[in-house]
Amino acid sequence: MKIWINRAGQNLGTFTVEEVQRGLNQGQYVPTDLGWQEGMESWKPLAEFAGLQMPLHQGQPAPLAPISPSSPEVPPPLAEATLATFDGAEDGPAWEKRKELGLIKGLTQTWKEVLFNPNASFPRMKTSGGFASPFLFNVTMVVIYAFFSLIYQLLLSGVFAAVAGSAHHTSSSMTGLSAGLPPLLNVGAMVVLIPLLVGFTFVTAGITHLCLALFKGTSKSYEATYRVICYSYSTLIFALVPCAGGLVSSIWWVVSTIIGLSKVHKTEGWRAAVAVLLPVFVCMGFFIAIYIAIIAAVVASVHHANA
Amino acid sequence: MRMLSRNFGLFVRPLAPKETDFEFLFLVVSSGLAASCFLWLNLGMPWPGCWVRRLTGLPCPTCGATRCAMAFAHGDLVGAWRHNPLIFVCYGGTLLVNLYAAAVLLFRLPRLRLANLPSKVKRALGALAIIALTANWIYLLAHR
Repeated sequence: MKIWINRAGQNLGTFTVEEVQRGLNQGQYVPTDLGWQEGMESWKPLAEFAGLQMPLHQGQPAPLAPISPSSPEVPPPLAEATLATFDGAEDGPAWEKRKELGLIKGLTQTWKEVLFNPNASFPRMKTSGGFASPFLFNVTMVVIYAFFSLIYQLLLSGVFAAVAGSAHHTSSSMTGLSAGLPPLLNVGAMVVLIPLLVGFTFVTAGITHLCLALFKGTSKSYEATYRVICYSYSTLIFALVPCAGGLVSSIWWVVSTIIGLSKVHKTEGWRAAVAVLLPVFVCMGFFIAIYIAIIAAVVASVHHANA
Repeated sequence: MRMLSRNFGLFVRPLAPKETDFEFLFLVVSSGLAASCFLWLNLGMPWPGCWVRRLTGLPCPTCGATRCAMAFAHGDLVGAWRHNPLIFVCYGGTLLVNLYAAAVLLFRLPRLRLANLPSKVKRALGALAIIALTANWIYLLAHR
């Protein structure tokens, strides 16, 4: 029968009794790690499992050297990030170690960690050390997003202009003119939008931190919240996919930010969810109110003109 | 249940202390998103159109998602299916997962978790997803 192992809220996988015993002997697991197997009502420390013998030495779990699988059904070796997760270890994400790893590797590894393993990566995230690293990551992500968006828009505006030109039999110079104007505007808009978006991250982090504080969910400083928000911008990579990419990116940003805040501030999921979603709903309500006000003003003016 | 856990790695187990509550997360994000989209559309607010359809006149694989959602929300299941069958299945699946999530959160029940999906099942699911996407797009192209 397989045993599930959990350390500090992070699932390490399912293993046979023999594998867990080997892991305990090698120092990969500690007796305080929680375990669960079929038939049990709740999780309990490995030390309380009848079939397991605790080793004499007990200390901090060894971070690496995964257990070799004994059968084809055994799950693949655990990732370094997963095994290294324990309370107090704050050395991630990979972007923080970009000087050793290299810029590209640091960036891609951070995407992988945040997008596909937020449960393991956020508890290991550095919560202090200055704003420079997360800020640079935020700038990089926004620039990548803006660059690809610009390319898409240039391509689309060119194709739209060509389609419009052939459909209406306009002259080639007119088509060229109509295709030429939007790209200039697009480039200008991007130049203005990049610093705006990067600056807005500070505001977003501030509002989120305030909401989290209102619901008594903060245990770390504003910097920790800012770092979560910045690294969650890894989801912008999904937005590069046309059609549904933007929607997937937004949804995943919400999910990873909620997970990140709950892990970093060590608070309940609902507090983190409220902190992230409340400002979104407030903004949406504000936008709807403005829209309704504009419509009402237009209707009133028409009514006034007719009267 | 033993059979399911042996063949598909599906377990029913309690949530570990400090473990991320995926059911809660799924319920909050999906219902929040659905509620805001429904409100937005019902107020007649501007909604982005599909640029693939605008450009080529042909539907993209996700075309009809908004109309499908509106029909689904109004209980017109046949109409929702006609707009985009695959999206209809996704909405139905989301609704079912939300019902499950609400039930386990409300009654503090143990959670369904996948331990390690066998590679055969993973491959089969991948193939099924590609077939479903292709078939759905063919349907949309044929019924445009």
